[in-house]
Amino acid sequence: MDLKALVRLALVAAVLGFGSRATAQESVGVNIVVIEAAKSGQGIDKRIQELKLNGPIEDAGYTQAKVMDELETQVARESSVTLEILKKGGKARNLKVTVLDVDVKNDAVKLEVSIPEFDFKTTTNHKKGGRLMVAHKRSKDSALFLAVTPKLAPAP
Amino acid sequence: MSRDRQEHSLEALLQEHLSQELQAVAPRFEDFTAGVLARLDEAHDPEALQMALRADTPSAEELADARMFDDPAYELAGAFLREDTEAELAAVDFSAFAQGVWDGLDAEALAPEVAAALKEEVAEAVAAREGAWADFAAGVMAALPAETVTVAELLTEETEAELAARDGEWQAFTARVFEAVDAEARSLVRGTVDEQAVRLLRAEVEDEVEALGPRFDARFSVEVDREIFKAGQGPAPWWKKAWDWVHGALQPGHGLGWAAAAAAVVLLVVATGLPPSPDPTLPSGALAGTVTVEQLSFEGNVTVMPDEGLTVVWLSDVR
Repeated sequence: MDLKALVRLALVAAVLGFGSRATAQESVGVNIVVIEAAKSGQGIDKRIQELKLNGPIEDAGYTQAKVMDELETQVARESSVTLEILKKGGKARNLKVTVLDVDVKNDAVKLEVSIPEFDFKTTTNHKKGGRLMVAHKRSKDSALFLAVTPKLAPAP
Repeated sequence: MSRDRQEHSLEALLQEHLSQELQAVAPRFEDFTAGVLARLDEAHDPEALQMALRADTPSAEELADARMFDDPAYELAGAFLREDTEAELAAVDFSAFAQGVWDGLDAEALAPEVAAALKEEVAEAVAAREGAWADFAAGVMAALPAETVTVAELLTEETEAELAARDGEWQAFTARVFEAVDAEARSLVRGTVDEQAVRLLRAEVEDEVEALGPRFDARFSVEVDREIFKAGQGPAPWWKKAWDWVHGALQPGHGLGWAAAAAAVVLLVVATGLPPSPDPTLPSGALAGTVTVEQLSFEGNVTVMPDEGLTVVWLSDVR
């Protein structure tokens, strides 16, 4: 086999091989952090600082922030995970995250994030671990921050 | 006719006229008057008044719930209650009632002395009612929370209790997190850079395996441990990576023959070099990547604040 034929074969192999790996991943790691912040009091949870989520919280003037809940799970393509973010007075509020699409080659994930009780829904494209934070001012001095981070597992 | 009998007659006449006025001139006013009288009775009974007010006031739980979600309707409930009550109290117009009675007396074409006496009686009765009503209105308004504090004061106790209840959950969770963080911090202080890298990788993988749980069997964990061990040995030479890749390509189901895989290795080495490895300098949790908002629907005000690695969507005016 001459060099040209070898190169041609290698190109076909590379395209087929890498292509099959790029479409192999069918689930995405999804991390959801529920944070309650207040303008009274002091102290940002270490976990929030560790995740580097304190920036927008502090920028908005909140001096105290606590992690109320955190969920890390795998979600299959076209599937969703729902986390009850608060339940007061018998009314549940849920954060729903649906994985719409996964592009391993470009390290990109398309999500639909919604809170049905708020009639809120958004579709977002996350590249290379980009994060979405939904913030909701609950009163003059307190707010709820919901951080959603998709994470592609390393290719097998 | 003696003076007593005349007064008795006047009083009976007054009662009759009042009754006629209430029925004929303003039926709606009659119902309202009955309500007024009932409220006057309540005014002398603080417990009954309090119960009546409570019946019109959202429950503490509803208000606490509203506060948690900044519901404008409930947030202003205290202010609205005060405004409504004030308007209702102000709507009671005794002068209109008196005027109606006087008009009725004029229509009867009574003797001037009789009409004047009746009007005087009515004026006194109305004045007495007005005074009692003013006291009642003042009592009602005093029982309502001041406009400037409204919901905040009503909610303080419930919110604090709720926060205290949640605090217990937070403490348990945060204690666990802090424990893990502290353990990692201690491990970082010790050991060489290579050991730290291996330890971090192992912890990360272990967390992943633990999260995925039953989906992976023991064999997977063994493979992971092997990878961690290899990571601790430093980067593999290029020929080793190439060989591993070829070995992987030969596994069943990969869809490639040995010759194709070997050719791919040759091409990679000769023409393009080895595939790039992930950037090892990027710390876990660092802000990286981008987020773009493709679609968004919300019945309220939304502010999208894109930033490097983190896009914040602010929701306000939640229904």
